[in-house]
Amino acid sequence: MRFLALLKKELRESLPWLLLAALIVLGVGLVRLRPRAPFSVADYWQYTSGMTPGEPVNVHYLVGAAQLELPAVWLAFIAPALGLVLGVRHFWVPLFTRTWSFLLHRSAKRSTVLAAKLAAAAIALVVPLGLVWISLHRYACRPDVFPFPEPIKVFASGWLCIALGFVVYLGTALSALSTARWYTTRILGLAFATLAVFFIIAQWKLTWIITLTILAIAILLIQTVAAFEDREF
Amino acid sequence: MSEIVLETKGLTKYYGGKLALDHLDLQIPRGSICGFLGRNGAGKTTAIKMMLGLLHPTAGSAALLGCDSAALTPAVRQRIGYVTEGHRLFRWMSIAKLERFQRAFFPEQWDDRFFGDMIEYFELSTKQKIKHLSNGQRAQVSLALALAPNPELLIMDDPTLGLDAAIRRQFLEGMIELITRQGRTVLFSSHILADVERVADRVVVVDRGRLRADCPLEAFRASVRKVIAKFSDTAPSEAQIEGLLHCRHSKKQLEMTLVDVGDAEVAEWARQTGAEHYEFVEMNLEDQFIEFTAPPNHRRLFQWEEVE
Amino acid sequence: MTLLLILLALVIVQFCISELMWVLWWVGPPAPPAASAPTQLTTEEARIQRIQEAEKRFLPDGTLHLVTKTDGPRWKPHHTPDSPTTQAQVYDANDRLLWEGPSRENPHTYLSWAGEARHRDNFNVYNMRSIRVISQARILQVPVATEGRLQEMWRYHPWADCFVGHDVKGQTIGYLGAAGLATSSKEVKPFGDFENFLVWWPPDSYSPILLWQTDRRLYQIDFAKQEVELVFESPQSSIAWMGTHQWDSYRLSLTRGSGDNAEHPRPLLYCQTEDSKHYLVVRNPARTIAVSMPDEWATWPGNHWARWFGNQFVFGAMDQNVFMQRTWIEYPPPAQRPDPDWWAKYRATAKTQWVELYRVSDAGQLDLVNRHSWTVPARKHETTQARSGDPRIWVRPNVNAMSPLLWDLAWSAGVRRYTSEYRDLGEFIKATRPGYRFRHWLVTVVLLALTFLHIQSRNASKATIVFWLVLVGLFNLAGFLTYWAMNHTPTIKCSACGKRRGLTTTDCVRCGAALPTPEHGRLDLIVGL
Repeated sequence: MRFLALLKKELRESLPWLLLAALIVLGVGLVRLRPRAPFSVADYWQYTSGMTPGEPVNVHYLVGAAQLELPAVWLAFIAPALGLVLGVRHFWVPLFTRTWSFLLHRSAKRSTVLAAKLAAAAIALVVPLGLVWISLHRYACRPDVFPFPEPIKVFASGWLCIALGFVVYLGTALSALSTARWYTTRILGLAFATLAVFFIIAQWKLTWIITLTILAIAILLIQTVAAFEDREF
Repeated sequence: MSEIVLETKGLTKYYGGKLALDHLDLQIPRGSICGFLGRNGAGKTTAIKMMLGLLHPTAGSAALLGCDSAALTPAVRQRIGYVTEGHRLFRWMSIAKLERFQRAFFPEQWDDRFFGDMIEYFELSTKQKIKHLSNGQRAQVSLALALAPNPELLIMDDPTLGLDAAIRRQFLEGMIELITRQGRTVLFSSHILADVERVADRVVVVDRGRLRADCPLEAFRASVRKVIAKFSDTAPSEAQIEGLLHCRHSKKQLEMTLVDVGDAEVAEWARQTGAEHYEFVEMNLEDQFIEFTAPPNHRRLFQWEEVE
Repeated sequence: MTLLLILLALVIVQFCISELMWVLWWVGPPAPPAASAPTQLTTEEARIQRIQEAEKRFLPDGTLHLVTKTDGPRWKPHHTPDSPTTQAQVYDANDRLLWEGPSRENPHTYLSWAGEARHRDNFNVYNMRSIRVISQARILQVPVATEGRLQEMWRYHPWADCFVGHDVKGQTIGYLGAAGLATSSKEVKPFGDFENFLVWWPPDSYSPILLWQTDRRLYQIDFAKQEVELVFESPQSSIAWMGTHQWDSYRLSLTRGSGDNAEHPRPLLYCQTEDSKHYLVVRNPARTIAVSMPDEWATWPGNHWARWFGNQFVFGAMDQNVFMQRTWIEYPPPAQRPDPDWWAKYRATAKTQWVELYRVSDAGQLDLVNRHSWTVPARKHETTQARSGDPRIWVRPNVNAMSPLLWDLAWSAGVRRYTSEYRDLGEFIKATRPGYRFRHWLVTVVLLALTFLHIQSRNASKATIVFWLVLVGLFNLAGFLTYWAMNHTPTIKCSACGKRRGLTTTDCVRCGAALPTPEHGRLDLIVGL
């Protein structure tokens, strides 16, 4: 009951931001995925118009953008941004408003308080953005809307962005929980999260991506838990 | 001897290399209302936070209701009410939401009716959001939240800071309400000595991190005294009397602050030094506190205060 | 996490310092101007220069022509196409003028050679990264169409390493992999380590064909026919270089010279492998030829720099014959990357250059058809640049003195042997390792001493002290900064022994004295319960 009360409180605090993030991604997706019916060969003009057998072709014409490219790009920014905002909301704002003392004196363990925050962040990232992403992907895969289904890689990239949002969240939390100065070690949490994000998105092997993401989350999570348990408020 | 609900042993805290609290040894018995006094930066909030497990002591330990402060369990925290300095609450919540939130942590002992009565008494609406309340109203909500679970131990860190007299009176009445419930203990820090004088039965004084007084209020009131001695000729440059805290010297007069010195000893000193006349100055608790915690040989800032 | 970040920051700082020194050296005071060269060439000098600048072209019968091209007053560079104003002069091997006029009207048809695919036709590993990288929603997709109508779309699936086909209704047609068409993703065989691919439109189709190169294989993928042909497989090592000649039909109109080999087209693929073996894949009729070369010619890619100076091979095929042209120079190649001094000496020395034409038999034997040599004159008044010596040579050992000892240990443990896939890691360790130098040991000892002095006043635990000392010993400056970041706790002066002591323990780590207890005197009002 205590955990639920804490979770509800954290989710309620996060609500405006997660709604905003979901609406942005949904809006971009709906704008991009406007159904064009009936489907026309002219949609692929670069392959049909002006085609003459035996002619050279610039190989890069074979590289196309998925229908979900634009929403995917936006999601790649929105998810980490949401993670950053949630980290600030959960860990920085109580420092400024000095409500940590009130929160930590609830009859709940520190680990319960932290677990509620982490769970709220995970839910806030996964549920709204995940639902939006699934909806957009299913819509993009409808044959009456677009003839060719979206590659699974594109679908996975959205989930990767959501996971990286959690990495950024943990990095923000770790920086907030540090008592050092910004120009010394306080920045390390955010710096590590940022570097991890860029490093992971540059990978292309799925196993490496999953492994590195899990590793980054694990490192940050362990440090966040340790910092939270030891920190003085 | 009554049960000890709050105990500290050698509680010490360093911030960096600076000593904030130096070996605080304290025992608060059950049923006591203890005023925790000290000047700004004396270490009161530091001590309270260490008692509640929000800060880690550099040395020493604290125990609340028999449980080590470093490992306060949720069950023990349920029995402790805490009013934070400045009454920091979640600004986006309404009073009703805050009540629901708070209640979740006290499923067995939350007194709905009592909370409702308090809110009604303070003429607040449960739909009001915390951010729309004044400081005083927030203090009222804070007190209601702390009292509604019927805590055994109530710790308040400067609860009346910035409140007007009327709100402060309500606060004290709330405390008295709690006090009337048998076995409840209150520890509160305050700069408003008049409030302390009204309700406390014990005082603890911390000065620059060091414990200076831990005694019943009456004992403190009786022990800290001011004597003004007048001389026909030049007054002695210094007073040789045991228990002398401060001595201010003017041409024909000595103003002494004494700690735990009886009337007979003062009379004997006056006779030995040839004082023409001496009298005890009436002091309230605030005056006594200021004199007690003044640095040694301090001079008044404004010379017009000097006694002629 | 802290250690990783500090290591990264340190590497960046080290790199910046050494490269900054190089930049400052490079943009430093200019070299003194060379003595002015004479403006007029003698007749003989002009003739030698003309011969040197001429294109050496062979006729199908092996006859050599020296073709000089000019655009206005200048020599036309070999690699640029002829313009309407390009003038050509054709000389024979005895330097007799055979023909001159507009280059496009040259009546001779010369042998042409397999070349590397131009950039716009070539899709390599770096391009593939943008397809594979999960964070980019880019797709490699190949259409299958008839005139005016799209039928199918084949998309490269980076994880399954195959192509997945869809029809216009979104239904999956099948999977094209190394073994051809498969009906399910479980049955399809992946292509393997991708290197690059070429693409062209065959003359009778609206659907492109891909020539897909992996580490050791070449596949030709015809999406319209849903077929995959294994064109070539290297028996042992990876394919290092691949060139095509008339393999893709549209190049008929794009090969250099008018109608080169046009009358007798014979598609050819040339592959050189990492172990310096040469293979030719020809069609009409189809054949794979392993070319036998003398060992002394096989100096590349073993010695990369030798390729600049000779043993350049190009191949071409005609109806009856497969030819090889070899170009080489009589000058010892550098053993390592040449510095400016080496270059100056090279240019200042006259050299003999050769061009040879060989016929390649079906068994891969080389028969010399013709050869010709000419003199590459020395450049007079060539001076060595005033700058010499890359400053990074002496900056790096000093900068690398702060690198972790762990890099040296990894190098000694043979990390280079395991870095074929992670070449960058091996190169990185090679460039930044301290090299067991004295200055590195000196820095390490100083840092260890500082760490010990710092830690012993703060922590009495031997295990902790040993841990941090080992970390600093292994990671040098990065380890020390990590220790400092995580252990810079305050100290106070012990009231008993007067030395600095930490506050993480109650008792002084040096003398064991507890923190002093304040005395309560007469003026305190402490009344017990």
